[in-house]
Amino acid sequence: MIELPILGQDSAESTEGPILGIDLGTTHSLVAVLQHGAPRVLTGTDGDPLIPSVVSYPQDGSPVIGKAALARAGFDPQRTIYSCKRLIGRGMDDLRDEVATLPYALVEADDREMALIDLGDRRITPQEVCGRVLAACRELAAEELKLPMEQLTRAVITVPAYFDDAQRQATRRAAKLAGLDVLRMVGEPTAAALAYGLDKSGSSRVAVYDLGGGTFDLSILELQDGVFRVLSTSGDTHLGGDDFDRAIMVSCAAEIQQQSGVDVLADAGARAALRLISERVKKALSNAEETDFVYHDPDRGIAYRRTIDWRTFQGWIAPLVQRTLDSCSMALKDAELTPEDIHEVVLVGGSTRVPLVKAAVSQFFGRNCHDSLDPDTVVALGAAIQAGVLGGQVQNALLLDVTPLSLGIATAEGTVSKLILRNATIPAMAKEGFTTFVDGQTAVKFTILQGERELAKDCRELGEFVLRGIPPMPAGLPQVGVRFHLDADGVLHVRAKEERSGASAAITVKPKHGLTDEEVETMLSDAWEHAESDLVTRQVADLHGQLSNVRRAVEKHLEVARKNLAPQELERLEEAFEDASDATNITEPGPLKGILDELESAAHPLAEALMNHVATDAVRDRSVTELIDE
Amino acid sequence: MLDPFSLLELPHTFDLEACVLRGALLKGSMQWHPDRFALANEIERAEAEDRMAALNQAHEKLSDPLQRAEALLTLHGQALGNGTDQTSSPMFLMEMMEIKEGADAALASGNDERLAKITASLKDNEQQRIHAISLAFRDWETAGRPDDQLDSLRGLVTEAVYVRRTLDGIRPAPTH
Repeated sequence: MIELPILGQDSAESTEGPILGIDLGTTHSLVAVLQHGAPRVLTGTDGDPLIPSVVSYPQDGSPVIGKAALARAGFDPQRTIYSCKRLIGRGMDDLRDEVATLPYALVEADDREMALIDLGDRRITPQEVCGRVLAACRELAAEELKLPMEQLTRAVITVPAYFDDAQRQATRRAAKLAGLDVLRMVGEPTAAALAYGLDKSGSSRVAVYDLGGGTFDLSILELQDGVFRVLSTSGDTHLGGDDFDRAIMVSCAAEIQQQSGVDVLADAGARAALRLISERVKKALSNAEETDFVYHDPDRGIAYRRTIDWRTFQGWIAPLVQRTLDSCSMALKDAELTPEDIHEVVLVGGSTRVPLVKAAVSQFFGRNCHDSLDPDTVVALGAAIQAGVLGGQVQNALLLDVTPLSLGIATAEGTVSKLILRNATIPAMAKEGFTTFVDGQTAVKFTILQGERELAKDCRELGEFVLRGIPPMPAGLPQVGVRFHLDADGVLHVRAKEERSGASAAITVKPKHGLTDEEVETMLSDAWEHAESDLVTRQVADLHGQLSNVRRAVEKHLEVARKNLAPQELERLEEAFEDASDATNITEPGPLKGILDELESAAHPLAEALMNHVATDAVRDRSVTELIDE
Repeated sequence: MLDPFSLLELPHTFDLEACVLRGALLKGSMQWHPDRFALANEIERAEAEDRMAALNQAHEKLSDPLQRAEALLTLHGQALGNGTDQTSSPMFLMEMMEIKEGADAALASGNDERLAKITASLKDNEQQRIHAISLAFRDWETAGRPDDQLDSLRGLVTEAVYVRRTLDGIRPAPTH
């Protein structure tokens, strides 16, 4: 055996940590890395990998992120921002349906059609909110991998396959705010396919049905010898599990109004509460035949209770599920395939846990669906694998993605001249010639559009630029060549040149729905103050977790307590239990710990009462929770 | 700038099966995809972006028999111009014009059934022409690619392109 000299570590390798794979989700985000050739989702100290994509901005104090932010949703709804992914790269026009049900306020930016979040005392961009969530992902990775933050600066971020240029650019800039350089943006369904199919050989066609919190995507891929080639993609950036919640919320709110005359949805706090109840109802109906929707507001004379069975729920969401199936048909049509041509179907996204969704998709494709990987983590796992591809650790896989929407230029007649067609494999390029309309015209304005409609006004305007310095010539003589380059992230670069004179446009397309790079730089240098130390956030989240465990345990044995405890013991327990129930809003570790300790100590007599039923020896030295959980 | 065949390292021939084309694209992608250059310097990354975009464009072009025929003609100094060609017969041009007028009238009067009929017959026309082009190019290649057949090949391709443009020109009325 020949011995090779041991080479010194590559200097770039030794100072740079792994490339992070981040799934930036509508409701929660995850971070994963490739370790020893296998992807691994990183978890916090509580063992939970899900970071709620929520940021809360207390009136005074630094922003809080994740679980701690979620805990503030009930009492500070106007300053607790969730679903930021739905807002990123969007204008107010896109969000009209959303505005009515969001507890926080949106306003339009003064200088462009970008939606801003209005906190009252200041306005923030959706990029800033998403940036905070990404920063939390980065911090979690630093903590878990025991690496300094400076070594975690590169990431693969997944985005809905159907994200347009503005949304992709905005995501990239949000990452920049979090100190992350995005090496690649990957479609979520594509990432999921990677996670499922890494060790498959041969060739097959796979449909990935991805129904997340706020977005729906369907991608059809062809797998051949490690190459994952996307054939077509279709979807809806405004359809997801949140809409299921909303369907429940709207139906119940209407009934509440009928019964009590109060328009509960008008109040931001009530809206936040109803949303949480609706989400719980939806989750319960994934496993149970029926569940109760309970909402009390004694101040306004509301005592509402309704039993919702799964049939009713299915009736509410059926139109939404049908919309996803319509997208499936479209993606198949684009790929010139029928459902029988699909060999495998993969389900991704938490909303595919809803039985109706699973059944409808199986029926549509006429086969059982793969759901062996956790739909919550599969996308992050795929992102980590793609990070390995980029980093060179994974040699036998390659992703070939497509653009979800056609790109073109508005013509003088108001139609669209399409340069790059939907489902073209990226990176893609195209060139098109244009000319002037008026004699002596020295400048031409171009409006760049994305979308499938025939008329310019029906497509999404990405931005515009002007080519100046064309020498005066009769109309129709100048030859302006416009070159589109759609890069591997699905982000567009445009160049324009007048062929006769050589005049070329130094063009920067000002994003209509997002920030420019310069604006991001400015934000980074002065406005992005640091978030609350992650340690505190984590502590509070842990304490809330423990508290809810004890509460649940006590609740379960309340009958035993009432029968066996002395009156003053019972009173103390009930008081402590009530305090604990009211504590969901507390974000300071100190008071929270006090409440937890008091509940544990007040529950001791109950634990003792329960102990009478079991052997004393076996339970000595065990915590109250452990004991009464049994 | 390389021609699409050379870019994909394929022979200059009309006879290219879809799986051969796909194989060539996958091979090129393995080498040139920007994912393979993620950690390279900016210049190399930009080169990979351009190269891969060109490969995708070449694959797209050669996957369509009509554009493949056009690319072969270009290689033999017979690039197709824009618009009509002197070689097209007046009969053919008149026929196309009539079809276009018929389609416009059907569009204007909202006669969907008539429009569907016209579109279907044009599609059929296009397919037949593509079939004829395939046979003609194969014969030409078998005969050792004689130059004196280029004019007639060019005529066939020009007319087929014209049929396709006519077809593309029939758009459903914009809906609001």
